[in-house]
Amino acid sequence: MKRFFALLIISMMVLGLAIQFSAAERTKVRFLAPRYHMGVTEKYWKSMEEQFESENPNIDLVVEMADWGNLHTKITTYLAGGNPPVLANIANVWLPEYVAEGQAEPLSRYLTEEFKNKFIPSLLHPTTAEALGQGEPGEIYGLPIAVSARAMYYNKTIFDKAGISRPPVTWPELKEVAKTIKEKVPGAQPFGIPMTTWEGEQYFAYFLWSWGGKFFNDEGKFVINSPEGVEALQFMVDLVEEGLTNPAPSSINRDEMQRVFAQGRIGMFITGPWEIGIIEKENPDLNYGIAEIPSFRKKITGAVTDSLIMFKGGKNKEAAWKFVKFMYQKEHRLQFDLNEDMLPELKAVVEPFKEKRPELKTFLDLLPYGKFLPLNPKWEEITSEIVRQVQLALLGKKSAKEALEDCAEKVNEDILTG
Amino acid sequence: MQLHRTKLAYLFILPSFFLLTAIIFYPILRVFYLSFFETTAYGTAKNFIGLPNYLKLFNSSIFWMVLKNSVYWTVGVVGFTILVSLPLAVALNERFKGRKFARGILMLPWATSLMITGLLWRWILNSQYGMLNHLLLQLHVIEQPIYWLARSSTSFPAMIGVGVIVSIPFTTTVFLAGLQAIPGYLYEAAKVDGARGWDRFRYIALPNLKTVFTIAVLLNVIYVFNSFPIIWSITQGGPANTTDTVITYLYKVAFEYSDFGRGAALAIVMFVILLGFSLLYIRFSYKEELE
Repeated sequence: MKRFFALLIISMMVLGLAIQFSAAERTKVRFLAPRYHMGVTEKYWKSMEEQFESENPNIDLVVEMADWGNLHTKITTYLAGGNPPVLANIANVWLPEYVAEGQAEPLSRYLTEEFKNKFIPSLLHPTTAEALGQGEPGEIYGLPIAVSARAMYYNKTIFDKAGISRPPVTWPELKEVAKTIKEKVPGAQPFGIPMTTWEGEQYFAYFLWSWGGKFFNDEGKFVINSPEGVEALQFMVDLVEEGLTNPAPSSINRDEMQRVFAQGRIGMFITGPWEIGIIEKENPDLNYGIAEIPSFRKKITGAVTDSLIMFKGGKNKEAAWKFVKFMYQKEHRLQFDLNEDMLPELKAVVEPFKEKRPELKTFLDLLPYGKFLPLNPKWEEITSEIVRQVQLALLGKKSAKEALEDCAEKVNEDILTG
Repeated sequence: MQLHRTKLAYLFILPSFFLLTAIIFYPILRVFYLSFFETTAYGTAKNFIGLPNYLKLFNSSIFWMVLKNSVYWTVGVVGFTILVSLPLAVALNERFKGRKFARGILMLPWATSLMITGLLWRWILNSQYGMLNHLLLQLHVIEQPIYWLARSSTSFPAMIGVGVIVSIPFTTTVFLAGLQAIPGYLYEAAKVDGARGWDRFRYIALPNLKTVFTIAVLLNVIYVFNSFPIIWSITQGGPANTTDTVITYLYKVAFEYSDFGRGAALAIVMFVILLGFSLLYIRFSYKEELE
């Protein structure tokens, strides 16, 4: 018996070695991909992997899935350990950090003119050295993947009960609408504000930009405490204090609020196209509409591109680029955009996309008014300071002016200099 | 012979010594070293700068708030855990029907991963669709939903409660072991002298539990001060850092803000605090051994 086990173990070890050797013949390409729609993204990349590997049998594509919430940390850990994946789908706001630290691979040596021409030109801009304020002039460090804009969802049932016929166009009008809802539809939360470190800065940005404020001025100084900024935050504070929002903005994040809206308990709420899919899944009977984000001094939307980048420390870049070319084909990207409710980044996808998704028209129309969050290597830390100070103001612990003054001081004198 | 045995002992210790050097001593020294450097975003030392990482910490109001939170959290969790565990251990030490079952149930929270427990409680405490608010509303204890996680004044006590629940099994087990180590003849003698339940507890159990008690407190202080999963999974330190403890703040500084130098300095501060408690622990457990 003993001998039998010994034999078994030895044969297993031999087999293991054999498998390792046969795997070593294939070039391994690691791709770190975050989930957009739970369950959908995995399936999409799985099928891409199968198709790609059947076309390129000598490449072993390894797709690692991650959650957006811990993606940045995961990459930091990989980079600190010197073992990053060669390809990663990241939020573009992190790119300056990777370029500044010399971790992002410049892509112009791989990019042919023909390939470059497939993209909507303005969407290639956010990954250039010029936009990033980092890297070698003229270089490009990433490709757009998952483009989105934000719009305001409103609950038509609540609007009907309150006797309101159309969504508000300006912020002061929104406040009036919210007051009417509060009065006539008890139990409904007129306007939703999620204010946590998960995109709270984006929500504040809708207000800041509408009022004509900026995060940074042209000299690179952080100017959130401008009169426009203070006015915008004061407007948010007033909404909260007059009970026109969800009662505790700092206790709910965007993703949780998306579900609460789907349950029909919020009058108006700003988020991206994917909310349609969430409503479809959670409460398909919800009667809702999609409108532009209210304007004040300016008409704006938050535009976001996520980027596909290559890490310098990643292995097998040539093989990885093969996959990049494979991936950016019209039908593959159309499928991705339809799956994830994202907007097209390839010229050829725009028309078929419009045909299949007429309900996303508002988002496509708003895209030209899109404003991007600033690109700065310290953005993660700056973000948490913005959210912190806005929370303090919304909780009534500081005035809007104090909060933004403190925020600007901390960012200019501590985060940006240290 | 004696010499030979000592040599042999060293030989046996050697592998673990190397292991400890590799996975404990080296990282500690490395963190100590890093805390005096300006670092790249991925934790390699760039320039030697000396003390600024520490000075920056001591000058920031968040650091002091976070330290205070840590104390609040540790005292709260350890204090209430002891208050609950001691009577529980005494009860479980008595013979009654279903004792084995009761002891089994007690172990349950211990068998669940802290992250899972934390996430469950995050759902339970959710103000919009959480179980707790639903229950309280149904029972008409409250009229309006409570926003548990919106303010530190409600979220901290709630998290301390969760901390207590998960700390009870270990602490009760330690007390139970202590109670069972008390020789039966002491009780018998007391019985002869006419001691009743409370007296038996007060004059026999309690004095004999003194060392166990100190050790349970110290071990809990070390575990709880260090505990990351509960706070991270429930509030992530928010809103506005008001529920951050030193360890969650440390994680943010190093891995979210990519400031490994300041993170290392923070880790050293924590290390010194915990080292103090560890030394106390060693002293007490050795004292017992010497006796």
